[in-house]
Amino acid sequence: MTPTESIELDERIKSRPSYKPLTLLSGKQWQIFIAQNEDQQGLKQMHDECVSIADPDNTVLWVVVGDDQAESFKLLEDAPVAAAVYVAGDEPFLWDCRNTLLGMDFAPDQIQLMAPSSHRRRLFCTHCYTLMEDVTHSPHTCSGCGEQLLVRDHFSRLYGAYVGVSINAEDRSETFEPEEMQ
Amino acid sequence: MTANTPSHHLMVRVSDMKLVAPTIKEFTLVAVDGALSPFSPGSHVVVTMSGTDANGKAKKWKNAYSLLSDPSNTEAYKIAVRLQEVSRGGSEFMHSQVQIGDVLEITPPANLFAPLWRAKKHLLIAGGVGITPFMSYLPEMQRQGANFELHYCYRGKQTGAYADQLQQQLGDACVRYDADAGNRCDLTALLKQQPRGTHIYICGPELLIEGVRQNAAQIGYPASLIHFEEFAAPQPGEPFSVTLKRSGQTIDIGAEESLLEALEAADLEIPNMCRGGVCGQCQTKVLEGDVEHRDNYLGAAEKADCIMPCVSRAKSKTLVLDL
Repeated sequence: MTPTESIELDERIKSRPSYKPLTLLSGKQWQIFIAQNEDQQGLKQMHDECVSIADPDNTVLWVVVGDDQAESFKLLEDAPVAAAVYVAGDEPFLWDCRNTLLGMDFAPDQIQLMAPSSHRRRLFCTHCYTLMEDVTHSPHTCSGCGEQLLVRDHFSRLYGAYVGVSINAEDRSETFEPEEMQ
Repeated sequence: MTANTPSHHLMVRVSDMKLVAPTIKEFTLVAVDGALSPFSPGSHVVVTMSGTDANGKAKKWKNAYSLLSDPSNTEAYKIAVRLQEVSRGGSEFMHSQVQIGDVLEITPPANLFAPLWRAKKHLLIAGGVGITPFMSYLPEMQRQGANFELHYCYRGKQTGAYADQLQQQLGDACVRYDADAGNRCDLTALLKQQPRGTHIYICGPELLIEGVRQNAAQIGYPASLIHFEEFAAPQPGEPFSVTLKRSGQTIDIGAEESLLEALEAADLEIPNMCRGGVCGQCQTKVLEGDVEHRDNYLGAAEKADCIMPCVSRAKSKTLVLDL
């Protein structure tokens, strides 16, 4: 049986995640809310609602992941198998969290990712393997090899990054005006 | 996996037979010629039984049984058959007709219930004769040093095969619950104490499977960690008939037989593996008529124009099939 994935894929680019509204699941032993920073208002609202309806013997955790990610995740080490996890932040953060959680033996179907809080992308250069943060425009100049990278919607869950490929490999004299991505 | 078509059948001889619980008989099967292949833990075979029905008419039954011998043993396969209180004929045949030395036809092993070896821990929950697939898990799990626990629920007056032997071999990794002695498994407590990464495997009656799934859903145990196998025998229903579009043939299906059995009796070869509405092999297109779906395989969209003939029947008097 395949694990049920909470993330649906965009039909045009099969790997690009599309995010559904989070569903507050009641009856879980632990409810874990993981925010990238204090700005995650939507998640905070959900957390407050959860606190107001939770059974007294349920644990509801609000975790703001600071600079020391490892320290933040230590709080989850004792979480039981019956737990629901909700994550909010920018896209690379969401997938980094998800990978950390999977590494801690949480199951894919107990992790819900909120729609990313910004359009900033992590970019992976297919030519020199450099990872770049906070990319907003395409093409983007690779900080590793200097290639003009077309930022594709092709997404790697492992790296939480989009794939960038040379936009002028055929004709090096071609130049493109960077456009802001959605 | 190999579909159950006649060209893939194996002939085996019953070399030994013994009661392993008041209602469960174990059969040891050896190859008539050649060797048996090793199989993967959780595999089953479909046994063809040729006998006569209540009216003395020749009839074939085909039932799926889990292999319970060590998967690395190619000398012999073992299966165990519970005598069903309301037998459709198959378990009755195995219990009263089959003798040592008899030759039976089986399919090569197929697996719809393999353990996920990457799991951190395996929690096996067996109910009654549902112990059988786990009998093939255990030797391999012990060889691999896997972390596992077996929770075995049964009624000592009817089932409970291998319980003593398992207790001896597994020690604390085996917990027994004999309902006839008043011992029952507290499923909620059991599920709650599992560490993350624990995959649950359930084999037994529908009631047990549903019990675990409901408890799991209630406490929020992730569904992706729960695996189950239920070989539900096809349930009887109203008689109906089907017309086959390609040959124009009309076939009557009696109250006690399944559509798949009726098609096979008319010499049609329908691929099949589990004969219990889960594997999807026998999916057949329906051109006309209403289906009473009883399977656990078809999605909502497919139900509009398909049937699983191993368990499902017609709601209308007739169906037209694309066969």
